[in-house]
Amino acid sequence: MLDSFRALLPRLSPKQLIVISGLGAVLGGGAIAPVILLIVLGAMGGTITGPPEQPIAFDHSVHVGKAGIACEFCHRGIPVVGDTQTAMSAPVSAAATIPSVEQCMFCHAVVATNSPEVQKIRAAWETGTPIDWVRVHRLPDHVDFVHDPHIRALAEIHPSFTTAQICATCHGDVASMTEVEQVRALNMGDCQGCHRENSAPLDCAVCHK
Amino acid sequence: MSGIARRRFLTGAAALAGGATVVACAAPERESRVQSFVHSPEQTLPGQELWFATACAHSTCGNSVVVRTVDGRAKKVEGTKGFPVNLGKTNVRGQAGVQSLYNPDRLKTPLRRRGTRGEGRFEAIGWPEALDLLTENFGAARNPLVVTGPISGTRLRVVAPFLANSEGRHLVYEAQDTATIREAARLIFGYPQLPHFDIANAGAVLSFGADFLGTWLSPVHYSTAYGKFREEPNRGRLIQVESHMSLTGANADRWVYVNPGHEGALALSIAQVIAAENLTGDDRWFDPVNAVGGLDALNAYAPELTAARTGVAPDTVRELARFFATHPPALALAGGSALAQTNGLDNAAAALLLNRIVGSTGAAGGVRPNPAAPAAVPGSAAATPFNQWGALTTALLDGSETVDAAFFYDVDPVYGLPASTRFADALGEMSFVVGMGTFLNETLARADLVLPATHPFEEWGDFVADPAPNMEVVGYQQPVVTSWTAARSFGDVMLALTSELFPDAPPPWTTMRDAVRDGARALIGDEGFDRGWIELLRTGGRWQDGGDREAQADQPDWHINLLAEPVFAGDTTEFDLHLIPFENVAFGAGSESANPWLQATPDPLTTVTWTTWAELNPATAQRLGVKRNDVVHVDTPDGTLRARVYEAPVVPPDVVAVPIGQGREFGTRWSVDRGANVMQTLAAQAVAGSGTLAWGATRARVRPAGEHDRLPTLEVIEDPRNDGEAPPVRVTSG
Repeated sequence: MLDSFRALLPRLSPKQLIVISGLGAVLGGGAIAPVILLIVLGAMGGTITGPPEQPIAFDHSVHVGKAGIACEFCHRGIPVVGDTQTAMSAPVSAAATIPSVEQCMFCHAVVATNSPEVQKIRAAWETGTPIDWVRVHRLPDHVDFVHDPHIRALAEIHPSFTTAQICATCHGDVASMTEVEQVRALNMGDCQGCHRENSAPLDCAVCHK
Repeated sequence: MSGIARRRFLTGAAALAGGATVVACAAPERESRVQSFVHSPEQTLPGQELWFATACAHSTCGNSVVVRTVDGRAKKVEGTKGFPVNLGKTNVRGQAGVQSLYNPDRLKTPLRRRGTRGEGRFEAIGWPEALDLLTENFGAARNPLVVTGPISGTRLRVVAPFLANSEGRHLVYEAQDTATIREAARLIFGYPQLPHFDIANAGAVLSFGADFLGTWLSPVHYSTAYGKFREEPNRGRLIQVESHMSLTGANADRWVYVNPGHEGALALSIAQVIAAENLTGDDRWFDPVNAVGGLDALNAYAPELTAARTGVAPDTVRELARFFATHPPALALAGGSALAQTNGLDNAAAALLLNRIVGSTGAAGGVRPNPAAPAAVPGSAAATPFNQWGALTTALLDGSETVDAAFFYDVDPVYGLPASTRFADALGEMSFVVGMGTFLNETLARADLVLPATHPFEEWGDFVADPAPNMEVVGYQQPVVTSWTAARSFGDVMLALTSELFPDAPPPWTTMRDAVRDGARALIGDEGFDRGWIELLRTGGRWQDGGDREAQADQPDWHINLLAEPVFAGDTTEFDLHLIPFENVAFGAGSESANPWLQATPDPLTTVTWTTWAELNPATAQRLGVKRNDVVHVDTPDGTLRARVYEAPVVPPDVVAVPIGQGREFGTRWSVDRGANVMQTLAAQAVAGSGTLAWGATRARVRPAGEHDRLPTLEVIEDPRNDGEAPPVRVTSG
């Protein structure tokens, strides 16, 4: 249950956790007990933990790092950097999107067919079973996050960046990760910090719609 | 108080509240998972909506809808903008389409009968086995029977090769009779198609029982037209003449009660006043009156002479006539129970004749001819009238006719034909019966093999709007979602069966999609077909003002003397009330009762939901010693039903009105064992001339059952006799 709960609360770094816990200890008392409880539980949830176990051991370091496949080749909901006309790329989605099993099979019909992990993909394809991936990055429901404007803004700010570098701003160096894990807090403070640095709007309604 | 200090109590309470919040806030485990598509459909992205235009029903509704889909699931239905029949609007049945689509009690796999016929015991089988059973039984059958609703377009074309090869018969069961109004329009105007009744541009509408805002012919179209009709500065006036108040009657400027079966006599009385007083100001009434018998014959219908029969006072008739003749263009309509009498065709003819008498034909605001359907997409099949169903039943029961194999698709004659017809017994005489539909019903439950049919949102198809809105309209239907069941479309099954049985003369298409595309190609031509095809699917269809129209006949092909007195089943002393069944806005003739949203849709006049009620005048109820919520038996010479009383002052004292649509033995958990099926209690009488069921021509008596059961209604009448019933919704301020 705590795993589920953590997704709902602001994510805190270990430093923030210590500060808030300290404040809680100082101010601790009957009337604010529920507040303390929520903050502590939130802090537990927000703590950046290791990578979750996935149903298939997909290795980004092989696909992105070695094979050099672009992020948007698989995550088709994100726009192609440099493409100013959205119509030229695939239609963009709020989510980056997980690739379909069919898309994995574009290559794995012939590539690494003996790998046990690839055989799991093939089994899903042949039986028509969707794969239940474990979500690594999740923002609460009250946040309306859309990838498209963020990627376009970062492309404008850093004209020399590749898509992979833009994605790395929030997701870390995925190209070197064997198992993907969250590297930034991605909580409200984190969002606001970046918005401030880049003169992006700070109105509540920008994210909380 | 001892033991617990205030501060400690508050701390404990707060901790408990915090804990409860944690439990309540826990996100479901599934939200930490993210599922990928197996195949990624083109243009589909998670969470992004896509809208597709399609049709809202198999064939009869004539409306085009757009369906919002997200992640491959249908979410919401709206009307297709610009489609000329429904003009961007839908009705409650269209909106509830998604609940039929995802209804958990849908037929999901083919079923083979295990028990006796009518027992409803089946075992699930696969499609290969089902198709084997089909080919085995239809292969050996002589003159098989195919029974469908009034299908049109490509559905009709895919049945044709099977019928031609097998020398089979196609019977068309029409649950909501349109044959009588079609025949009346043909007699009076000479139009082979149902004409366009131009309500939007009329100055006055005089409707003899046509509930055009609720159930009559094309209610979504007429409702929009009615909005325009009511607009200032030339706000039209509506007069409704009927034996049971309908939704249209409730919206009328004036509502007039007429004795059941005497609507034609009243129409002729109005005609007599128009002619005798020369209310049109010219002699335009002369030719049509002369053609149907002349003023002398019409004078027999002078208001004073008909008042006793019609129940309408002579002064009222004169007011109606003067009003009708002096508000051009004036439009007269006929429908509902006025047509469901033994003399229903002549009632309809007399009512439509008024249009010719005041010259409201062929122009805006009047009755206008519709173009014929294009050859490539034929118009709806003519219904097999009730008297032919009766003849078939008799022949099957006395052994003079045999049916080796019958295929029933999307129809339920066992439910809709009166029990006295004994059609259920006749079905038992057929050697092999296949039933195809979305839900189990009374007919399918008696089949040897039941096939799950796709929902309209899951299949290819096309339809010809009938009645058309004064232009040629072909609507297109495409699957907006993939079926979550093993259902197949009727067209695909029919084509597969024909190919299997007649390999030497196979149908020209292998799938329904091919057949629909083929029809579309004939409409728009080879050149630019691919682009045109996409455009058809995007806009919902094709419509054009052109098309050949049959000119109005010089004179009506009808005579006043044909109007006979109505005949009612049941002795007047024993059965003192007229039983008027009526179509429910949500269920129509009962095909939609499987749908819980529609079950919960309040009847517009009484606000009753979920059950069958009997509407009685308060004076009649008092005479019978019953009140609202009392259970009564409604007896007819041919059956009986149980219903709860709803007292309504708009119900005439000699009428008991009962809605159609409930009382199912087979269906879904929302429709089975709920209310009663009034159709089963009717006498088997036909409308003279059109042969359809005279469902308004049965008399009844009402007996208290001595029980009391509260009606589920949205409204509450503040009545001391009302058991102190509390309103479910109460306005507390303002």
